[in-house]
Amino acid sequence: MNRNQQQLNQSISLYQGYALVMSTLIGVGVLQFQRGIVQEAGPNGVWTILIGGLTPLAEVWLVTLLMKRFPGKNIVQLTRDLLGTDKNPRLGTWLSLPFLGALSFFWLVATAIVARTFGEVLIGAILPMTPMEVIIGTLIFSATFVVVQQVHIVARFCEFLLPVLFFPITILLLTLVQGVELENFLPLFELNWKQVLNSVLSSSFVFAGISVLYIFMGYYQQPKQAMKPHLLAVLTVIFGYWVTLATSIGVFGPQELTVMMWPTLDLVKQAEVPGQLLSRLESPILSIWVVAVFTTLVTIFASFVDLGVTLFNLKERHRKWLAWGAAPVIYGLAFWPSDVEELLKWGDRGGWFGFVVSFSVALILLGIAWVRGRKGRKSDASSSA
Amino acid sequence: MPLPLRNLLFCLVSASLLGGCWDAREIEERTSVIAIAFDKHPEGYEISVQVPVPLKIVGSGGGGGSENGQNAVQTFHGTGKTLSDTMDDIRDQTNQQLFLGHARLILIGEGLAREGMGSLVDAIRRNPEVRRRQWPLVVKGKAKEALQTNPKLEQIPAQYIITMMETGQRTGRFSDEDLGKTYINLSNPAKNPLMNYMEISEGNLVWKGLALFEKDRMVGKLSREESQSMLRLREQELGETANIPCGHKEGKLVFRPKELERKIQVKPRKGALPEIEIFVKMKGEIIEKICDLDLRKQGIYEKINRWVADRYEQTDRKTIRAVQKKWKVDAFNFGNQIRAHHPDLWKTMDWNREFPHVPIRVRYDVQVLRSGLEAK
Repeated sequence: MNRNQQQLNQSISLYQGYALVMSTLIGVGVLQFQRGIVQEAGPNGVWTILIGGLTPLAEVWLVTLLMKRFPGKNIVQLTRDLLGTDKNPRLGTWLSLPFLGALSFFWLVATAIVARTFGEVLIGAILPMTPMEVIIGTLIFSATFVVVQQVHIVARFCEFLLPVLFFPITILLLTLVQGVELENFLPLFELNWKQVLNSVLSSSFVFAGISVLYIFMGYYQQPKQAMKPHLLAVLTVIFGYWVTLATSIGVFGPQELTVMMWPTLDLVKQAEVPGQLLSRLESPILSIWVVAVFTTLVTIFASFVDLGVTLFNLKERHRKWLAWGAAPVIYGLAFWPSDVEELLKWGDRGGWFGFVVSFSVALILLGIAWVRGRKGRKSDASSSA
Repeated sequence: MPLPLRNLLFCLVSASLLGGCWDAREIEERTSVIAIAFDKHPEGYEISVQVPVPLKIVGSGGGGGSENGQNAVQTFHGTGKTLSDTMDDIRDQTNQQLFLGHARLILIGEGLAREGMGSLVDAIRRNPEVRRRQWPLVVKGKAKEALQTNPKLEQIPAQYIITMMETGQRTGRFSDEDLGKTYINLSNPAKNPLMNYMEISEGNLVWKGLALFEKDRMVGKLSREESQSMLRLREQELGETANIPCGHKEGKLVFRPKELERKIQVKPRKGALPEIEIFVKMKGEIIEKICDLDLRKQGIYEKINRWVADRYEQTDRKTIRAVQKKWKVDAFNFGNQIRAHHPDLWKTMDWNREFPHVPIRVRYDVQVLRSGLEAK
């Protein structure tokens, strides 16, 4: 790999990093995260989601801390360096396998769950006659087209689509002024610790996906300065989710929220544009949501592929074989859950698993790095490629 | 393959895949329903849908010219054991697929409403096409007859009813609770739905008050005057004008409310039921006077303020008593205030059983602002 290529590879800017975290975190969860939280905490979801937001903040902090210690390396190269000895670098690879295995398993399953949930919403809400196979197939097919590109192109892709994600806020504000009832937020603080804990856990699921940084941060221009944009991105997402949840509770009340399949969609249905310009806002919102889901899918899928490429020292032109090879597996996995109920269960568990894996990987590796006093050297990235 | 050709092929393949052809239904391939009427039927349900005929509507550009009223629409009827069953019966009569996304009026026959509309709500909630923002109305007798009324002011009869509801809601005379709010009222244990109650009289649909519900079952109907009380206390709406006695003199003053603010306070009491206190602040104007009262006299406005307040307090008390004693259902949604502000109290009491016995006080503070163009 020549010098130029390497520079190009490490070209993800800080703003792209911000876009990356944001568009990965905002995904299928936006449409139904309210139900889980409110089922446990009722109106108290308004504040428990903020506590729940602390876990992704901690997660992104730890992951960034670890990754910026080894600039220019993704998790595969990092573990190889960190866990191996100078005499026996192979040892590092073997020792890293459990970490990498857990991460790639999560990414693979997460991609499948995202694709399937996307299909469920589309069939349930706007395209009842379209076969699931076609929806999921198209989604995975087009995602693979992006994923066969190099990682920094995926990041650029997220940067390009980021502004679209901010549009729905206006519609939310519209509903907010139209029909929020104060009584729906009450009574506050009428719950026990177990309910608080459950709802906090339930709200931390929706923030799954930070682990893609394990791959993407290896291609950053300035990984040392990445902490601020990352934290900012997570804070933006927390704020966005909080506004959505608060509006949903205010408009529907906790009891109604628990019986809705896709509360955000109903929230949009309830909004009315003054002047009868557009009377049904679901379709524009869903098309924005397609963007949100697609970016999530692409970043997670790209992480999976890049992990494989680096781990097996594949040549760049073989990346597309890995991506196209994984696509049918994801397609098959997406059809595994038999019904919506099972799918949502998978979604919850998957989010939880992803969080635990990414959190503990960061914690363990950081611990080892501190104990062994290892730090990445600057121009080391090419040694493994 | 040369590159431009490959790109072109790629674009074509994506375009054909992204079209969503399975659900592509052009607008002329739909039977767009504008109003649905639900009725009880010996078999189960009877549903009637009103469909505008595109060719007969002004501006459609088609031949045949425009038509009005019942000539511009076609109504289909179907019967069946379940709601979907009934809709299928209608589908058997239409040439295109039924599309409910444009429906903005849901008419429920009183018979069905009194029996309970739970099963109906379930079916329409599950359907993603049905809007949340539309008017549910209870119709005396058969709801399908409301679809056969023939108003001349709008092209489509259902559109006439829709604009009528919109105007009434905007001026604060009708309840503004749409289907979405009805869903919420059904799922919140401390709330009950409320719907506008219509009657067909001489070929016209007339607003006759409000239908009271105990969850999904209609239990009674408020008169026009009682409905105004209900709107003020439940929804903070202005209601109609009020006739006020001219003190001790013969004749009447007419007061039109312009601003209204309502506060509900629940006062828990030890060993007894809580007390509910409602305080309504109102501003408005005198629009009619049929008595020899001189409005230029010093201090007369203060007296009128008191008379108006007395009058409103009387009507509201009467309404509250009627609701508590006759129908025994908390149509004011006072329960929601207790649930929200006094959760401990809410948990210990069986609100639906206690509601008829709870003391409720109403107090008005009225300010007459002006008296129109006449000074006297």
